[in-house]
Amino acid sequence: MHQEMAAELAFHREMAAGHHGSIPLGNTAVIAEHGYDLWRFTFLENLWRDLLYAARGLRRSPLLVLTALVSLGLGIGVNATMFSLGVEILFSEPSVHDAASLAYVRIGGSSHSAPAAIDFLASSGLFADVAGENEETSSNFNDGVETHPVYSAIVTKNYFAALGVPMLHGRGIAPDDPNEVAVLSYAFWRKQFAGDPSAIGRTINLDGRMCTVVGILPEHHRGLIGFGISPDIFLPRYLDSTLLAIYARLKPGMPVPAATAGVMTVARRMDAQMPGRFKYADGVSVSAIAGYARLKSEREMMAVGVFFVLLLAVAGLVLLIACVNVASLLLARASARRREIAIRLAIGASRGRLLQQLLADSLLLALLGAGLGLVLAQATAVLLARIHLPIPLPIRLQIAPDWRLAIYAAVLTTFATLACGLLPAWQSLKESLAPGLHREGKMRMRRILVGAQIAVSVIVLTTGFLFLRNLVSSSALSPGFDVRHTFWRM
Amino acid sequence: MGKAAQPALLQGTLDLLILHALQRGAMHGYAIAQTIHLLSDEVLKVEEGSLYPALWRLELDGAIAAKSGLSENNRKAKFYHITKRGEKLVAEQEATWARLSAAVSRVLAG
Repeated sequence: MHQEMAAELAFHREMAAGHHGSIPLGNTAVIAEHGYDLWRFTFLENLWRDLLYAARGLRRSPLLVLTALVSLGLGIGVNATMFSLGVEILFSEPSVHDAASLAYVRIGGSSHSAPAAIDFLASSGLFADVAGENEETSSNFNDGVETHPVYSAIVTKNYFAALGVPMLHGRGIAPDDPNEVAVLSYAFWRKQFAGDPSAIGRTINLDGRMCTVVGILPEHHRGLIGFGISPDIFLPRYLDSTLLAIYARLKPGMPVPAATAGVMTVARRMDAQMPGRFKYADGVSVSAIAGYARLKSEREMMAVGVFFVLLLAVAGLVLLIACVNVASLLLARASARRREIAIRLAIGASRGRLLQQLLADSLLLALLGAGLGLVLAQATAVLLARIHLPIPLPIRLQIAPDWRLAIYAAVLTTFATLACGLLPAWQSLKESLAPGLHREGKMRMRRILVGAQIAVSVIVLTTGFLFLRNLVSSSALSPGFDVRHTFWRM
Repeated sequence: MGKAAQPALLQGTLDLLILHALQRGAMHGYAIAQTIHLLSDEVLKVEEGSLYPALWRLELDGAIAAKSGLSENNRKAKFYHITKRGEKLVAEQEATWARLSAAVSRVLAG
């Protein structure tokens, strides 16, 4: 680019020299530098200057800024929270080594299978490793004072090694361990042992058996099931009656359809050698355990995904309402700046530049609103992590801000800037060129905006009300027995 | 970089002169400067230092566009031509200039 400019100036020199230098010469380097800087820094410099100017202008209207911040903060905060929640529930990866090569295997159409079936599958050599987990059990923990149930998971002894689960202290359960060992979750360790690393080697009383603690899981451990389900204790299987869900590590380069066919073959052999009431070969499936692949393969996950898309849409509507709110505020302010803009246009400012300057107003508000919104979202995430849902599942949601949220927030900010600023800016420019003609048009515009806000608010409120009603009536569903005369509840 | 007796031009006015010159047809930078010089009865001498930054800025703004071409003496040169946006801009700026100069005259007369 530099060379182009230099060439252009050189040409000019030649022509000038040919006409006896009737036009004075200048310094090529300086001129080219000027042009180069123009190209490189113009945009950033103007942006920074515009933002400073916008900040100065907004300082004079603190009420506007406050309203805009609250509106945009809530709008963007709601969106950020929904997005993080959705990403965590749908796309979070379990804390294992190479989640992409792990698969969840179902045979005989059941979610959990008998130990004999698992051993058969493991010995068939189809997979690199086969492990099992039952995450819906509970054990009675006696802490020396009283006994209460804790959420536990029963696993095969090769579970930790096969999945490559990272540990905080100690190690996972090993194949040559006795049955009386346990691995603790971080939360349980903090509660019972106050985070003391010497807990390793101590014994705890589970179901009347003294189990040695061999390992502690890290704080941000995520289980295989997802949805934030995290048991307090991991125990090796010691009863033949415990059914386990099968997780297998695919051999390198084995695609899922090939694995499914392989399992089908093994299942037919199982039916031949271990005949039973139901056939192992009915309802064979192999599915991914994490990420988008899991969403596609499990129908239930797809439904959850669609649900979150809906939630995000509603959150987007809330943001829209906030933006329209701010837009009408800015519109009112724009009419007060009519004279200033008219003068600028007369002096020779290009309309593009003027539009940029007017958008800087809404950009500043959107940036501040996004900042506030992200703070709110983080606070909500921390709160959510503390909540214990009144259901018999050990759910602990870990929502951490990551690059995906950053990108989404940037998109939201851009959207907010345009939604809030474009209309007032365009109106300002139009008005300045023909002042006085549009006074009535302005009132109509503001009425339209208010009307739009009311309409969208009604939609969002109605949707919210319907969801709430469903929630209430589903929790009042009769479970089939008389709850009033039951005296034991979880 | 100016010589004493030359009148100073407002930035917006130079843009106006450049665009007006380009309305006569596509030309390279030197030709634009010559056109302005001659049309103003040799009063206005546009220096490279102001001409080319103005041209590059107008190009960035989209008011003019550039193409490579051959000059009268078969040298390679960058030829500018006015765009539709530029045409609109000229009309606006001519109106602005008329208002401005009328206003200045009024002040001086009063």
